[in-house]
Amino acid sequence: MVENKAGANGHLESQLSKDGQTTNPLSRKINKILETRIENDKAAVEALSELSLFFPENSMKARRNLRGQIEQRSVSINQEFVAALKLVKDAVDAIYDDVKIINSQCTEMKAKLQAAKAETKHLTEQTAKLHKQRTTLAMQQQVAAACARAFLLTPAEVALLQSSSPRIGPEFFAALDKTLAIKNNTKHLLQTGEQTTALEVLSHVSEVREAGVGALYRWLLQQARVSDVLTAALPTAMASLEDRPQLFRLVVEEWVVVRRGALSRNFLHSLTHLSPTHSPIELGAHSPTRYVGDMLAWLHQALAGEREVMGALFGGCKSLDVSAETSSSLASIAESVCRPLKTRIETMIVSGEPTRKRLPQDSSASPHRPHVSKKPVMLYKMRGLLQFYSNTIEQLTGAGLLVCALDELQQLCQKMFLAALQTQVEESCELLHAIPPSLAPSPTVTSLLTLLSDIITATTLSTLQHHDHAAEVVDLVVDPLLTALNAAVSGGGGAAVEAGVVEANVYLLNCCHLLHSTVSLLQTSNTPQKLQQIQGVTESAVSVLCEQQTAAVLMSLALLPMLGDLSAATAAGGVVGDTPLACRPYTSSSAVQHFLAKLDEFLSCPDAYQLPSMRHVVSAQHRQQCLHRCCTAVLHHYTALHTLVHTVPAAGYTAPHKLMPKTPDMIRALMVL
Amino acid sequence: MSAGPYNYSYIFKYIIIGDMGVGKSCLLHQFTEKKFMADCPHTIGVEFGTRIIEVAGQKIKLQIWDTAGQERFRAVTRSYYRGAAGALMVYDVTRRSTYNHLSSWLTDARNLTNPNTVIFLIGNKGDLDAQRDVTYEEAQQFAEENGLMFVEASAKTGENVEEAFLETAKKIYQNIQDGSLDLNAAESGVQHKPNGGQAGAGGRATLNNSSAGQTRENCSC
Ligand SMILES: Nc1nc2c(ncn2[C@@H]2O[C@H](COP(=O)(O)OP(=O)(O)O)[C@@H](O)[C@H]2O)c(=O)[nH]1
Ligand SMILES: [Mg+2]
Repeated sequence: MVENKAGANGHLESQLSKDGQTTNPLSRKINKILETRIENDKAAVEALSELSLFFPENSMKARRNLRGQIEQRSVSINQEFVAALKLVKDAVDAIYDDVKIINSQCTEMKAKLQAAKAETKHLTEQTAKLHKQRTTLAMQQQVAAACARAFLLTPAEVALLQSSSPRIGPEFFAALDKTLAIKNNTKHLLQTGEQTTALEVLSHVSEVREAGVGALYRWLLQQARVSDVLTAALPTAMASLEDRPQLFRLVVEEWVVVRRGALSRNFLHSLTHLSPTHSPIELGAHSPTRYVGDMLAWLHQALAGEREVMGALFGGCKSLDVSAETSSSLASIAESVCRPLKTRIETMIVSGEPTRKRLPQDSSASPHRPHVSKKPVMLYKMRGLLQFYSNTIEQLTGAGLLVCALDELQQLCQKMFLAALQTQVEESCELLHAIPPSLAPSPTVTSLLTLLSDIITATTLSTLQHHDHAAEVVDLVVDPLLTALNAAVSGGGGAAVEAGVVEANVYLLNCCHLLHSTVSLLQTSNTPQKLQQIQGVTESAVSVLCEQQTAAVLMSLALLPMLGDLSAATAAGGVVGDTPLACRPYTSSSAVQHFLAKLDEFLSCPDAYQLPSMRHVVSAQHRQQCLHRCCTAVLHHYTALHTLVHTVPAAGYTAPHKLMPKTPDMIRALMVL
Repeated sequence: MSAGPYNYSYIFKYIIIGDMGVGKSCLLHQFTEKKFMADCPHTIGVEFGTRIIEVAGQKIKLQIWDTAGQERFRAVTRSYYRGAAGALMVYDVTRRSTYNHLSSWLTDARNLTNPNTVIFLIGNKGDLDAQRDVTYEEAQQFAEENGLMFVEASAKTGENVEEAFLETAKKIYQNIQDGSLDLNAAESGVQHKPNGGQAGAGGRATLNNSSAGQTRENCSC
């Protein structure tokens, strides 16, 4: 403590001395000392408090020692410091070492990094290179794929096409189409100069395609055998063969052969096969038209089915006229039934006689009713049927052997029909000599005319052509009949002589009447002409009858003997020769009176004067016509006589008004003319 | 190609009968083409149409024969009844005479088809209600008395046309299912066509395996 005080004092002193040296060193020192406020000087305080620690007693000795002591202390402090600093130095050295290590490591790392960096750069470059390569390769791949698509078949496709029995379906057609596309592409390739490749590709593809086409061809042939069941692949398959005309033809031929077989088999089957519900068609053979109609209807329906089959076969084809092709193959299929059909129909035409069985009984039972066979009607109907089916089938098959056969049959039928009709007419006409007592048309005539209208009204199936035939038929019947009737009546033949002119003509008139009413209903193209012809015969018969009737009436009215003188007197002014008419025996007043009395009777009941046979005239109109003409003649003569009596004095009649009071007009009124 | 004539299991044959002008051809046309043909030409003899329908999941091809109604064609049309599975008998609701003739058509149908033939009565021209000459009720009664299926339809509007053809087919199919229609009868009007290309045991097979028919071919013609 003392030492510290001493130390501080020493310091103070040195300071004081310093101040004193500047000015008045002493005063300044003193001043300074005086001014000094030790308690305010922290260092001093501290130094003093330090000093108090080792300078406890302010003694001489102590003061002497103080310096040493302080120096001693300073040394120890410095030593302490040195020791402490050594510790710090060591620590710093350690840090230094560490840093040094770190540094070296860093350097190393840096080097490594450098190396790594160098290395990475190489990799990046490599990657970039590879990337570029990859792009190129991808492009090449695309090109290769395009090439493959354009020029190569997949193994699956090749296998499919080359398989011995491939499944024919969309995949197969796609592969086959591809072969074609490749072939076309190869042509381009050839043009660009890639000859070797192109030829290689071509030969491979052609080989595969050939195999595929072959398989398709075999499949189509095999399909023909099951052609009852059509598969959906059929049209495409057929269309795929379109560019191979020979194979195409062969397939069509095979199909036609199979369908022909099926058609003719089914045809014969349906003719003869018994089913629980339907009798075979041949059972209908007792009615030739029914039998033939059934056969042809069956055929029509079967051919419509066949047309569907063939239509399906050609349905996908693009380069050919499907409808024409279908028709022509159908025509060949239809040929298969030509022969069996033709023989059957021919038999029906030649021998078919629907009512043959009942014929003998009929004709023996009634000799007056000659049997008029229905055969012409049957043949005529059959001809219509054949014509109808010839047209119908032609619509399905076009012209073809079957249609030809039907046309031939139709012609045969027509021929046979005309022959049968002619025979019938001839046979009938020969029977016309005998005039029946009834003077009505004989059964021969009626049945012939019934036959005629049966034939014409059987003209049913088609429209126009038939009417021409109908006209021909009418000619064939009416003309010979009229001729035969005419001959029988007016040709001086036995009939007329036996029966008398009136009877013969009444008969002729009645026949004509029937003819007229029959023919007028037929409405064929020659109907007006025929009616005119009949009318002509009718009129001549009527005029004969009128003549006969008039003659008879004139006779019974006692007019007939007058006529010669009457016309002579009319011409010569009332006289016959030199004799006045009234003086002639047949025209005397009494004769005239006699005539007028008869005339009154006649006028009251003209029908009583009709010839007996006239009652048999069927047509009232004709009867009326005869009466009318007869009256007209009577009136004519009456008028002539009246004129002479009333206006010609030279005729010599006295009291004409008493003799002939009635004027011709009055008579006409009474006659209801 | 999907609607082509392929892959059907059966063929049913139909015949359409009835007086001239009742609309038979129009009904057929409406059914096959879904169109009304107002100026339909007169049918000469017989005409033909087909359409494939579906009954109970089975594809069935209808082969329809349209006949001329005129008397002069009867001799021809009678041959087409043979082997019909269905007969559509048509009258015109505006013309009583066509209704009155039904019994004659029915007689033909009964005599010339087999007993299983489904006969369907159609009163056509139902669209002309104002000119109606035959009531629905009397025709219904006629149908009942004769065991016929019946509907009034219009070929013009297409109403009930589809139904008539389809109902007939359903009835035929039902007859096949319950065995009353013998497929092996050649004249059943039905042909069975098993799918898949193998000609199996169907109606047609009966036709094909007739070796009797083949041998006869050699001797009978
Ligand atoms: N308003 C009307 N007219 C019809 C209908 N069906 C047919 N027709 C007409 O009746 C006429 C005869 O038809 P069509 O089919 O030829 O009769 P088809 O002789 O029985 O074949 C034609 O003029 C048609 O336009 C119908 O449903 N409604
Ligand atoms: Mg029609």
